Amino acid sequence: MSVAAGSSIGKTGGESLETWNNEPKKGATWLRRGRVPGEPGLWILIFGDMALFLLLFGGFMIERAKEVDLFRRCSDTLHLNIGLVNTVILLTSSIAVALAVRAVRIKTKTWGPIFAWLALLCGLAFLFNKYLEWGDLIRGGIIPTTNNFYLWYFIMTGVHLAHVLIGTCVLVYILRLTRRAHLDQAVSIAGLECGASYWHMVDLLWVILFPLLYLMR
Amino acid sequence: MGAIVRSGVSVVYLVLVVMTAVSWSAASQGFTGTFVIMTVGFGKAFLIGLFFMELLHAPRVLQGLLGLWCVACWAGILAFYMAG
Repeated sequence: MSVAAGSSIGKTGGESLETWNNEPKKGATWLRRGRVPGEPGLWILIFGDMALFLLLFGGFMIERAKEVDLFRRCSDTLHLNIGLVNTVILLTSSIAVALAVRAVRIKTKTWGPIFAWLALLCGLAFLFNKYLEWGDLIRGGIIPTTNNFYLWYFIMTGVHLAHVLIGTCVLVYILRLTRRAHLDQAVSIAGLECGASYWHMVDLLWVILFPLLYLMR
Repeated sequence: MGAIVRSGVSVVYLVLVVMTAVSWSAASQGFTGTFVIMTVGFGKAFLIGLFFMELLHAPRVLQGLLGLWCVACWAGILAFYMAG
């Protein structure tokens, strides 16, 4: 018995986890054809979050336009190498999550938990790097109230950090699901996809924050 | 493991890492550098959305929202950069 696209429960043994119904549903318009990863409600959350960051980006750039030299000088004080390493860390965690989902789908059960662990370790590494980076700035006397650049820096990276903290819990959930798949227990594929999409959003937001804060001159 | 790793997302990952290196190398080049890093940045975001978030095969509405977000942010950031 194949699991219908978008259904919640699928057993790992003897059933196709990746059912792909590319045939348009009755009445489906050109806009609505295709398969929604996870659950539709998740995408309201994801695009809502992205809209929030759109506003933060806009606010940052408006303030930057008022004090360009200040923002350029302060950007030079940030730890570029830590930002670069964090970018690669989050990209690696994202591919690990994608491969964990793929491992569960094609029923190579051993590798699901392994990739999930890799993703989780990358998430923890990002948190540790952020602790080092912020700690160094604060010990150097740089705090959110130092000037407008650092205010926006700490706000944007702080909001992103909150998403990373939530995302780390999501990665634990993903790990749990991959372990269930490894043990041939029922797995919520939609739940797995929801968790994965949320973590990819965290990565997507950082790949914009990094050039905006660290690279823009 | 080969069956898992040999997939489009693995290629996309390598492309994303290379794009990261490109934007890092363009960091101190004025407007041209800013244009490059932001275009590369939103290109990466779009690839993450299409391939990692699996929107490539999702309804056009979701793809459109992703594209709209990327274009709106990219254009807004560059517009405010030029105004500064």
